[in-house]
Amino acid sequence: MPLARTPATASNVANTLARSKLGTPAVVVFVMAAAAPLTVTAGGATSGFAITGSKGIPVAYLAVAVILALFAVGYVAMSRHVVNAGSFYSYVSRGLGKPTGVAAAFVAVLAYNAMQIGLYGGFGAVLSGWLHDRFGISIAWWLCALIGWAIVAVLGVLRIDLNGHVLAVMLAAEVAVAGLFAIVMITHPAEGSVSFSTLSPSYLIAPGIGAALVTAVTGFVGFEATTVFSEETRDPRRTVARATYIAVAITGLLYGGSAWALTVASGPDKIVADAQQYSTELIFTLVQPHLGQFFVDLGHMLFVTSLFAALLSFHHTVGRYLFSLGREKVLPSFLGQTSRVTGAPKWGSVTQSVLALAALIGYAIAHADPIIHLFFWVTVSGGLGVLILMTLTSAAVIGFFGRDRLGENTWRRITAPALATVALGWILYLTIDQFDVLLGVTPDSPLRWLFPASFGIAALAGLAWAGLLKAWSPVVYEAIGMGVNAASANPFAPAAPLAEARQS
Amino acid sequence: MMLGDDFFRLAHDDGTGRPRLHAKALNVGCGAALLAELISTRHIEVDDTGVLIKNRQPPEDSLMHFVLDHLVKEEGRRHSVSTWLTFFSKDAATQIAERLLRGGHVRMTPVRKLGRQTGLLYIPVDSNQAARPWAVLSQLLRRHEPLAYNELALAGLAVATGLERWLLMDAPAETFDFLHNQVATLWPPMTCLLRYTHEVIGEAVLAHRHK
Repeated sequence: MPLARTPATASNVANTLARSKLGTPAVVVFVMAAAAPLTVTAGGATSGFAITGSKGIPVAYLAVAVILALFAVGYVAMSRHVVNAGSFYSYVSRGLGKPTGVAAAFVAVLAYNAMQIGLYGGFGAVLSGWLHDRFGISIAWWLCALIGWAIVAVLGVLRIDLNGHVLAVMLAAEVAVAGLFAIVMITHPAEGSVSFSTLSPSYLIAPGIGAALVTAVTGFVGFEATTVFSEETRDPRRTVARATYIAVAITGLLYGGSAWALTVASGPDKIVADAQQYSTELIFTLVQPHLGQFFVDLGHMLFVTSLFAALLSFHHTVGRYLFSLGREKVLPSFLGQTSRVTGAPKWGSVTQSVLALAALIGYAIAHADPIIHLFFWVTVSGGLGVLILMTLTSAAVIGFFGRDRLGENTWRRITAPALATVALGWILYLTIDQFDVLLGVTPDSPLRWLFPASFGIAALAGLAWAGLLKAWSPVVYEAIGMGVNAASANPFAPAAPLAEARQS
Repeated sequence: MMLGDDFFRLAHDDGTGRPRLHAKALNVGCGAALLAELISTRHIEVDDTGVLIKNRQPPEDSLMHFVLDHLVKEEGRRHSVSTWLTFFSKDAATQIAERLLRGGHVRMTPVRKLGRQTGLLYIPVDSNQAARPWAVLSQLLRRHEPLAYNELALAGLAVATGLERWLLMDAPAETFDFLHNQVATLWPPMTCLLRYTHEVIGEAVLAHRHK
């Protein structure tokens, strides 16, 4: 009744809450800064050339950008209708059933941990190399990595994230430097003329492209976080969608263009050999003669800070995943506790730090190469895990809207998710088929099966755990995927939610 | 006994006035305490559809009056409980502190960092009075004694905001079970409010931004 009486007055509540909400640019900045563009253009792309030996990396970035944009159509549409919209596993459990959801949750925890831990290799090696070259200070890579680890561990427990303005300035500087480097490289081609050959789509059907594609997917991981912001945006229907497409488009063009510029400057025939020789220094080696030391130093500094931003961001991602799963009691409930004074998901954060420390100590003792064996191998394995999650999520979108259209059109409900599922599934098949190329090991090496199999084991463990939960604690099972909104997460939930849920 | 005042006292150090809780939990908790005061006086009820107004007579306390005015004015918009909690959480802690200030229970001091004033602290004038809600609640719970409605509601707010681990520090697991069993017997509108309080604070942990 009062609805009709007060149609035109301004809502105090809506106005107050709107003041603290985010617009599209803010969401794009948050997401892209976490994806850390310079990490990919200077680290991921060059390691990709060196280890996979594929020249198709530039076109792979562009192709993956298109496929991820397609994936985003259904993903963003579904994010409007699910709670706990920041986590892939909640989509999977709503669309493909709760057991698959728990399997996806286990894969996600493993994958994001791998992304984060692998980045320590890049951070340690790049920082130690730079300190050595410029200042003559010799510090082992693992010591640099441990210093980074200690800072991340403390910031994680205190729940300190980089300030939005700091991130925005860092992002702008990174994009400017990456763009500048790309322009310099393109204007100084190795063979006297600019070659477009590495952008040729023919590479997409060439052998070995699976490795290049998953390297590209790894570079984009982090863009899926746009949906975390859905509750904090001014216009959830449009802001999140727009921000996702913009983030994918900008990163795709930047990565593809930058990787292509590398091949122009060193020559398409020599890029693989050069990348193997100079590793993550390649981009700086190529621009140094034309730009001078200042920009090279600036680039190095931003490379290190960008790796650090990515480390911190993935640390928080893992912490939130563990918190969410602990709250709904899919994982031990102590993970769902927060620090009273800082509000940090304390045990989630500590668990991640302990895992990272164990991995770093293991790599240091084994004298493994930080760039190849840690940075590249482990992050692309994380990329493979996220690829598995995105493929499952895409299929889940079709399953979810198959039950109820919820006012979305056919393109968003079926066409785009189906195309994305096929494309992502195809990349997944190629990746696993060519994992030896990706790791740069011989085809009969057991390692090529070890990394993909770890996700298989995580998924099977998830399925088994879901079965046990169903038998042992039906309340927890019913709420899988609900995150902090789960009845099992709340001490004040009605006593018998299960009976009601079964009846309806 | 005002529930908002008691929650504010419980959530701040009785000597220094510094918060015992992180900002989000404190603010949402204070917002929930303001709504809980109106539930205690039967002015409103809370269920899954939102906040329902049961009595439009203005309460005597000016802050309660102010909160009820907001609820009445936007009754027709049917905001969810979470929206109301988020809305009141913006200023609730300051408003309760100012009510304590008007009553002469606290005094204001500036917080300075590097010579700049960065915030305000409300320091209890009488630390015995400020420690009372904690002392009473903690003793009753540790002795497993029955709680009256107001104490139970305060205990519920402590559970919803995560203060109970501090309140019952070093207590055996049975005491925590006793607390959880007791708060589950609260009046349904109050349990419903506390459920949303717990949820809104949980969501804030997942949100990217921390303000």
